[in-house]
Amino acid sequence: MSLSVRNLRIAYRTLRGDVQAVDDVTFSVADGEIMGLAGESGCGKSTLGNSLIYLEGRMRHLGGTVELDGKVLPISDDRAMNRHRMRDVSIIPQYAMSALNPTKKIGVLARDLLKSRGTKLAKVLPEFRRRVALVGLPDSVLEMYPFELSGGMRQRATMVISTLLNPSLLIADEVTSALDVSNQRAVGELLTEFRDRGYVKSMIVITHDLSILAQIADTIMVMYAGKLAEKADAGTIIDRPLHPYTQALLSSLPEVGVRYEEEELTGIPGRPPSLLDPPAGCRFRDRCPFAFDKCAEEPPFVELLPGHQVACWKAAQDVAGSAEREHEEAAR
Amino acid sequence: MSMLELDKVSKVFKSGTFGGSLKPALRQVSFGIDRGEVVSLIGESGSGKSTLGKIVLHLTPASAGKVSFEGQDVTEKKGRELHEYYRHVQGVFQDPFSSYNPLYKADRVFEMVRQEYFGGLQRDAWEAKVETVLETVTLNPADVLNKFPHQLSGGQQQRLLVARALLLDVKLLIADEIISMLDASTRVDVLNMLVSLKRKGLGILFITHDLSLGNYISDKTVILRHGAVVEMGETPKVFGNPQHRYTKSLLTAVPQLHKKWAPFDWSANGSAAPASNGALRPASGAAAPVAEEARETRRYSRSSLSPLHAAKGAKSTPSVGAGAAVAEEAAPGPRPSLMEMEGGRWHRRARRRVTLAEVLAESAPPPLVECEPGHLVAVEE
Amino acid sequence: MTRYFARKIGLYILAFWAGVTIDWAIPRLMPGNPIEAYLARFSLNSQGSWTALYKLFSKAFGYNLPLWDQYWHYWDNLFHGNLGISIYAFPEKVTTMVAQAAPYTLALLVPAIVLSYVLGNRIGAIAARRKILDNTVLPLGYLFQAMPYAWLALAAAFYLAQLERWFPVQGGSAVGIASGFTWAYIWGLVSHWFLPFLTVFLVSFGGWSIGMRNLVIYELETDYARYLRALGARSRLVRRYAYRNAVLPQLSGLALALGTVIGGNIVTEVVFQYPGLGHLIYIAATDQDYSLLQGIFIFIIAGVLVANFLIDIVYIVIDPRTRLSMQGAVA
Repeated sequence: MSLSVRNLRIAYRTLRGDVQAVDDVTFSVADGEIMGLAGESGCGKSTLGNSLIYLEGRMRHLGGTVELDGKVLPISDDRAMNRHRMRDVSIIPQYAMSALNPTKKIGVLARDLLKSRGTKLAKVLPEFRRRVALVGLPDSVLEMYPFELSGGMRQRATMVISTLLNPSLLIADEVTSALDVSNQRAVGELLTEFRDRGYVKSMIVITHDLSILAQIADTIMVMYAGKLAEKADAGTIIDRPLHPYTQALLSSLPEVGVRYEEEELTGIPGRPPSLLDPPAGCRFRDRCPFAFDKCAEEPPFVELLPGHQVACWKAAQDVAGSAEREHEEAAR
Repeated sequence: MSMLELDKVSKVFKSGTFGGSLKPALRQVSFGIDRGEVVSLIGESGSGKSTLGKIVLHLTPASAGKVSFEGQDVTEKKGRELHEYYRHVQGVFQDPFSSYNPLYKADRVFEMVRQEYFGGLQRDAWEAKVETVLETVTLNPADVLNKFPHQLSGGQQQRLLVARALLLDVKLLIADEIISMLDASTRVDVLNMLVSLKRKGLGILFITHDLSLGNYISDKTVILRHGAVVEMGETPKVFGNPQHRYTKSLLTAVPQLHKKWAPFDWSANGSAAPASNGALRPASGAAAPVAEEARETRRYSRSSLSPLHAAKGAKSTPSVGAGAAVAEEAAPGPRPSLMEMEGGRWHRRARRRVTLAEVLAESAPPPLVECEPGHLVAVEE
Repeated sequence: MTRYFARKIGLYILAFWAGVTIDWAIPRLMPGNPIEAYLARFSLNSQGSWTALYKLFSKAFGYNLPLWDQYWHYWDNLFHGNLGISIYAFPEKVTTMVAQAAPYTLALLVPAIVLSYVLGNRIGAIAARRKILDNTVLPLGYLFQAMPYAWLALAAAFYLAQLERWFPVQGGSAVGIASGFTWAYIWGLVSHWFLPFLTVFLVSFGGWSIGMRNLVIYELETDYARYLRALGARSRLVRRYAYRNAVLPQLSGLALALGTVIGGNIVTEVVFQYPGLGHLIYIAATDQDYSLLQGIFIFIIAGVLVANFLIDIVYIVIDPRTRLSMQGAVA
């Protein structure tokens, strides 16, 4: 078990009060697994990802534990966390295109960063060059300043630097969102390549784009309004989602080949609730077409089918119902 | 004759202190949009798609070519005539939030239209009109009127801006990446709203980099690359039977839910014959598909005509690195060229000043041929 | 590279020409006649002697020539290091007067600006992350910045010199001590120098430290700083990067400040009766001494341009982004 997160709760301060962006989240990521973390903006997916490596000033750890390879990550202790950063857990941030200091050559930046982590650049230089070539950058990038590269190239340089020390866990936050389709594909394939080559053991890929996850993720976890909604392997989430939110999200995605004349897609009416003062019960209730009385209680995030966790009363009923039917049929 | 007609529209940007370098951003683009027709203009960043939208909206002048609307030349319009033109042609852009002044209520955008165009209208009549357009864009007046921009969702903001355009007697809407910043769950609603507007006779130029969105909504598709049309025609034909390598490469890169990325051999000439193994097999960097972009870039840079594929994915930064790397490899063009491409920009090679006409002539796009009725493809070099 | 500098130097020459031309034109376009004003001081009775003197002075200052010729003569003289003759201290040469005043101004302002720049940047950078400094030094900086400078100078002169008699009230050196390399003379220079220096230092220190604090705070919030912290960079490294990037805009400010040094600090030098260039400008302005004013302005123009040019070069060395625009210019 590579990563195991238990009952994690993260809040962050805003002018109008504390927002509990990650609310009692429990999940794990196995060695060699690429887990996709999906959801709409403001659902807490970025906060969750970032909290595993760096709690910014306005973010607070309210409770819960994070274990990586059997060791507890001291996520609320910035100093103690430093030992693990880049070596055990690393990140390609959402702002990867502007993550490199504009006045430092990329090689110099890597050297300084590695020195901070107690390693000499010379030790990893051959590997550095090999990976620079792997992501399709010229060898000369080490001698270049970030502004001499295009946005896509800067992002790849950031990818290489972030993973130089072969971290156990890599968090890739919206790395494909700002890219054109062909670069999206290239970066998506690079992520799996990094895993296959063992540059990183496991990965959390945060994105709002389920179709990218369908390409590269082994498992997908869907978040809604700070809570986990559903988690299963990628194929199951895409083909047989149980949570009404996941279903609605998938049916609102236009795919190549779908045209309005043949199939009019529908969005999800309404907006996610404010996390300043979240409603009791299921948070998707107001937008859910299947909501019923029971939804006033908060649904637990439980395994309904093998390897398939869902937080939904309706799904639980359905699964139980079909199991009963099967059971009856079998009895007959 | 279509309602909007673009005839060999070109745009050359000057840069440098004394206009030292020239960059053709659009190269002789021609197509038309009819009433009740959605045309999607698809291209990657740097393809010139937004520039084209700005030219139609008269926000930047074309360097050459003609834009005509209902048979009238638009390029020379100014003052009162332009004011009238905006009564019929309106634009909505990518970032809805920046279209509003955060200090004022969002519906102030309506008020500005009233002052500009409906000064004589009675208050009641005006309010009725506002309510009608809000209904058209499927907004509940109580939800959006008298609210500040930050109280509205991105989708509501975008629909409010479309409603603003509809207050006028708008016949053509330029929608420049209007849903790329919206969440998946609200994107479709905005798309469907555009479809219903189109059914009422509105012409829409839908500018996007997202092929699935373009495919979903449009009747005609224009694929733009390096400022030139590589393929255009009726949407089902372009997407169902793509002919140009570039279109094919874009389509294979689109992530789909139920189909994994198909292998695509970028290096082979002609058709996209599936390679033996499309997954990353990088023995060396150059063999990796991720280096395809670079290789592709090199291939095109050999021709002195094609602008470099630099700065892909970048917003505005010139990519010196890529340019430098490629410049070394670029073989001299077939004939001595007045201009050369470096770091995403054209520079004078000749000592003398290069004229606009020369730049336009040198950057002329490959001709389009009809491969089937209603489907044009650029000749590949 | 060469073309970039050729273009830059061309622009600087153009700016110098424009500056000098305006400097030459202004007194000639202004109402009033400097020679008439000057002659008025002699309270001449006879019309004849007035006319004679007027002609004499007109010729001496070259005002009798056609404008075009005056302009050419002006440039010609400029290249020969001749800035004309002062009207007020006739027949003293403008260059001599400037040469006498300049050392006082330079000795006063260069240390004040450089020291306040260095200390202000340091303190400001530390204040960006230390609450104690942020709450003590910075408010003082704001106070000195917001205070009318003339008032601060007058207050210092009144309390520290007039009442407490710690420092001499006015002048540049002790009266009655022969100039020379003697302790008494040097002590006289330093004691006269200290108060004006202190007031200028305090005010500019406030400006630099406030500016630096804000710039560093901004830099520490940028994406690259967040990335460094997320990857566990030592906070010293993050600070070093932030400081270096924040110093860049400060440097342009330093260039401008140093460029205008040559004009002296009029208020300081007037309040403390300090015999520098600022004081000279004050005298020239009150006495309508156009040739003196023109001469000093030429020094200011040259000073600003040279300082800017030097900073252009420094920028190319320390900010790689500027090198990009150079490459663009080469091709």
